[in-house]
Amino acid sequence: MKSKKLLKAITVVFFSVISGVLSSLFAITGTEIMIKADNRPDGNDKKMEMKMILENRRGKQRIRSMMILTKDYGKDTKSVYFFKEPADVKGTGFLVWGYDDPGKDDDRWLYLPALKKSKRISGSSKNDYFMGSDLTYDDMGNRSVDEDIHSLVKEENLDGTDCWVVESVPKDKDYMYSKIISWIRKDSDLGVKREFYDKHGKLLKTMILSDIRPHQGYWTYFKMEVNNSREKHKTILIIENMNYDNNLKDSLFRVSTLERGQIR
Amino acid sequence: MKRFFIFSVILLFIQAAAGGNADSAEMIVKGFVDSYHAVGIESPNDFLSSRTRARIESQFSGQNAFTFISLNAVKNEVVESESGFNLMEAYVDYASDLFDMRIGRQIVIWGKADGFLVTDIISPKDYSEYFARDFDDMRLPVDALKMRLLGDYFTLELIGIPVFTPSKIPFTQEGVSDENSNNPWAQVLPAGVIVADEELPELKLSNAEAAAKISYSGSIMDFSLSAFYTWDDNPVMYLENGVLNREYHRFMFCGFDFSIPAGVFVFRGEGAYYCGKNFTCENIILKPIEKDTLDSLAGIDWSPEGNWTISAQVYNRYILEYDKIISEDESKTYSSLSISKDMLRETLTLSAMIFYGYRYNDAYGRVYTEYAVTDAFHLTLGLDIFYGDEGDFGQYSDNSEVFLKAKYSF
Repeated sequence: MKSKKLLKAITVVFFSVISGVLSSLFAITGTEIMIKADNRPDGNDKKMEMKMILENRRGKQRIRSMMILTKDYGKDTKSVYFFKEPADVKGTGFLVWGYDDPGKDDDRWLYLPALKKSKRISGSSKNDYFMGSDLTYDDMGNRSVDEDIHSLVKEENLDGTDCWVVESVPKDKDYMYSKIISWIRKDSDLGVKREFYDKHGKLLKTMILSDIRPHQGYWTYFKMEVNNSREKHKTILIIENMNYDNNLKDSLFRVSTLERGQIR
Repeated sequence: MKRFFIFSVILLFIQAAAGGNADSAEMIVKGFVDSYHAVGIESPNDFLSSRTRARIESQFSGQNAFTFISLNAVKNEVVESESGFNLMEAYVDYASDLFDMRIGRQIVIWGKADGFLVTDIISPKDYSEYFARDFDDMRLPVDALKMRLLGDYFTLELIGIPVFTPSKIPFTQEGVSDENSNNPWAQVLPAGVIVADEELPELKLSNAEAAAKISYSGSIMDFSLSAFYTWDDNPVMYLENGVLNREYHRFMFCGFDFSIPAGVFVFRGEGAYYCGKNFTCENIILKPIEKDTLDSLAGIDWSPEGNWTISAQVYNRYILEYDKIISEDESKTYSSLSISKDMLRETLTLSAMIFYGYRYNDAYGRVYTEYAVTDAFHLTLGLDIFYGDEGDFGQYSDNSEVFLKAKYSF
């Protein structure tokens, strides 16, 4: 009897050890998850219209809409934005050549219709908010994986889909966030929820992606909502007319095209 | 020739409109109404400016071309001659991957400077209300053909201007009631002088203006080299037999500009050599004198986090082989500093700027706040201060003013 119990105990310990060894051998790390999310297939280029709704604590809304073209050049990206509304910024263009290398600042040019010329602007201010929204340039996807230390916190089912939950702590201690927690869907490698914590470790804002579905062969979100819990302010992004792999010409991402004040 | 030019523009308008693919055709109409009112801060606190303007801009885009028309309707209570309708821009634009072309009435802006004119000399300026206008609102259109050869990093720009357009400089005469009698920005001519009609260059091909610029835009820097065979947009003057003559002269211009981003800074500069520019003499009975000048500007933009923008510039004009009979100084140097902060999610802007002239110790300062009541409706309240007894700013020391501007965009 005793020997049976002993055998059972040895078997349990053996399989536990084997299971632990195997899981540690094949376990995915936080960094690997974030690299997967960063590298997830999203086409060689994208063309979309984006509506940005800014809502203050009283529910008053301000709406911006823009045309966005993006093209990948290896790990680097070129993007051009043309604003369609509101009326006071209609025709404003913004060209960004973004680099994956964290040590290299973006190249940025701004075209203001009133000035009728493009202006070279600093590419280092990634922490400034975009057009009065709750999103910084970094939040909009320009942050490199190498800029943070990532660790897998847990796995969790979020709204019916299995997710990895990854905590990312910036290597730069002066960065505006102390940590970012991301929910990455296992089926699509898409980051569907992110919590941003301020320098004191308090929750600053939450970003949630929704209306997620395969579109033209790529997992795509059509709505993003960012709730700034400190300022009780909200930013809602609605993606319309999303098109992947348009074979966008390189000429669309030239400064000379920006200076024409429109894209066709 | 002028008729031919106008006819060509009309023809191209029609072609662009007809040639567009119906599926890709798009019509955009936008514009604004703004009302600007300024009161002198010194007694008798007169209105120094009071105008309301409506601008409508219409753009019709085809597949590779678009037409653009911009019209102004102005009611000016202080300078009544400024009231009326005017065509700001009207052009046809065609683009391909290799080149683009714009023909018609258009505003052309060169250079990297803010508020100083070094290489920005294609479009003439409207000084009718001088400092009572935003600097970006002072440029006049030219009737021109502009063509650009386009590369990924390099652009070659060629401009032909068959019709000369002078700058608009308001003059009035002591003791004479004319259209600029009430204009606080007008140059005052002595009484008794007979002012001759302006002598504009005759309309012929040999009097056309031509410009070329090659630009590079890349990661490390933007730079351009430019040349312009032109007429001086500002007249020189001399008195002959009691008659004041205003003449326009040709000169050749060569220039460069650059912008270099470095972290939170952007360094920029411009330089220009004006070859054979004419100057009015101190003693106005002497005929204008021709000299070369060297203009230079260095500037820095600083964009620290928190939606701050801080810019500083130093500008110098140096007249080579200077002659003391010239009404301008051999060298004049100015500095400018501007600080701007966007707040409340970019609905409130606080801004201050100062231009300082070293020669006469004079200055011009502006402080203002702009609030976006809604995205479409903005209110601006500000103060303009002119300091000094003489010089480009000091001469307007009676024109220090507080102003209010309302703008509705649609």
